[in-house]
Amino acid sequence: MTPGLRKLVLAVHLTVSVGWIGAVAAYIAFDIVAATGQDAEALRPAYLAMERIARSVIVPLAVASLVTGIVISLGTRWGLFRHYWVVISLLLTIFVTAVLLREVQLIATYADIAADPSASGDHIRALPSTLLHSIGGAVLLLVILVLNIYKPRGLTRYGRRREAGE
Amino acid sequence: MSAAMPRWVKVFIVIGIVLVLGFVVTLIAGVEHGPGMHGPSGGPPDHAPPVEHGP
Repeated sequence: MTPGLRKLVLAVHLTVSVGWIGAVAAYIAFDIVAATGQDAEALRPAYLAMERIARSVIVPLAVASLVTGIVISLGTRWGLFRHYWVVISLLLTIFVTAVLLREVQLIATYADIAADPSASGDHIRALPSTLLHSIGGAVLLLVILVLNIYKPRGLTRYGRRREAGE
Repeated sequence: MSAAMPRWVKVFIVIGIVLVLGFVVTLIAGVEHGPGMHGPSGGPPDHAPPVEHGP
């Protein structure tokens, strides 16, 4: 990978990864309303906003972060399986993305109910929130962020073999 | 460079194992995992429009 291309991919990776955390923060704001609100007329737009943010912003940013992270790893000396911090970051990102993709289906169901004018206030208030998962996801994203900034030392067995062979 | 696995990796592995075990225990205990466990209803309600009662 040429230096120019590497910088471009790194810039995209940083942008979408930090954007992912910001979008989750916005999502959590509405998720708190969904978890604590009692006013059905406030809950309806909260669920609709959660669905729109998750589907239109968080999922594309998550996929873009995963893809650009893999590309930048393979295109630099860090590699994908040489350093523990890269491997753990990759596994955590895959885990968070997988949970997110499953969660989006549930959120869409809640949003459909919230958007239905015939749904009663009791129906809307009985809808669950996703707060535990959204906060858990945010914590994991911050762990990944810290790993990527500090890059703690430690070569995997594969990394040590590669280093010895070079 | 030491060939031993760094301590911080071991800490991550231990935390991961504890979380996975906690998840398995909740499954074995029959606690439903997922957003349904967070709400008061235990899941999204069956969506049936309210019945209109005439005057």
